[in-house]
Amino acid sequence: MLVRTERDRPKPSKIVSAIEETLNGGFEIGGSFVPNQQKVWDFIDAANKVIDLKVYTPHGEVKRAEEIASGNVEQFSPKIADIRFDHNGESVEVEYRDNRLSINSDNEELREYVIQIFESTIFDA
Amino acid sequence: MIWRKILSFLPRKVKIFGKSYTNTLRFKLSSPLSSGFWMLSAVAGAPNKPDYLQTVELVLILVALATLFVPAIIFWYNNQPFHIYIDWDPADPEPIDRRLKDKGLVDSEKGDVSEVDPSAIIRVYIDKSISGYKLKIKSRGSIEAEPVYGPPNSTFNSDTNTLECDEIKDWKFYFPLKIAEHEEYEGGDLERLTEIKDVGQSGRTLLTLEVL
Repeated sequence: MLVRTERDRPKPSKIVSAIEETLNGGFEIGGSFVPNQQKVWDFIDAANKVIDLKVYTPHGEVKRAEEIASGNVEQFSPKIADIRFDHNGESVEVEYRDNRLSINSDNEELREYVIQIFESTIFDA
Repeated sequence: MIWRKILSFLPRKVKIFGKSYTNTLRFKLSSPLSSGFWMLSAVAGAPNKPDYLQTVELVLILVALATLFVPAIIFWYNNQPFHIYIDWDPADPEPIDRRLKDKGLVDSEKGDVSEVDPSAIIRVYIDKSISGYKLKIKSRGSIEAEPVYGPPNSTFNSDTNTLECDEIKDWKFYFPLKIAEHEEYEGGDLERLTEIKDVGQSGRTLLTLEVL
């Protein structure tokens, strides 16, 4: 099942209200969803290509991944990831920014493909 | 064996105590005051001094030591155990954000908390003697705050606004924190605070951010 939102970030509340509409049931969910940082890295790792990646340092500065001296970028908190997914011979560019997702394509199938990867990595318990 | 155990937890605990204590006003006041008494004791201890000045010198040295150590010992007893220390910096800061930080203030963003950019980076240091934590993020006034991510190995319970971890693997970590002000809010609240409270162990408030 897919839920469309303005910013492409499928919030549990929106998913649940969509289910509720379908089932006419009585679900309720409070607050917003905060993913684990490692799951966000899993989503970024699932991309076919990382075009640009910026992370927060422990002291709040935003640095490009190439500027991280240790090379171990996944120890940092991701800020912006411009990533590319390939699917059925086509590509789609996606921007992940502070827990918000923008999919740069009008192709429904590609959007669906990306959102499914996002859901399966980020919401994976 | 026991010494090894003591040594393995002592430095982190002492470090957490040091970080907490050196941030307090009493530390900032007691060190120069103690130096002042120390200098006076040197004046009293000048050569060819009368006998009574010898006693004055000794008293001044004791006062100098007490000014330095008594507030630290009181702070230790009032705030122990030093399990967790939390520190912060503005996230992706402009020069103005750094100036606000010097005044202990953090800027907030207008809008829904799930949509705004993070305002602060929260750094957490944990003593290795504890295996889990529960940190509640509380806000007062028209403010709402939540982390962008749960840090390694932890989950965020959005019903209670609590970061929870049962099995710590990283004793030092950080996470971006979003602080949002309700858009429809017209202002007028006296207290605009975001606090991080250790609800798992000590029940103490570990960090208070005054929100602009």
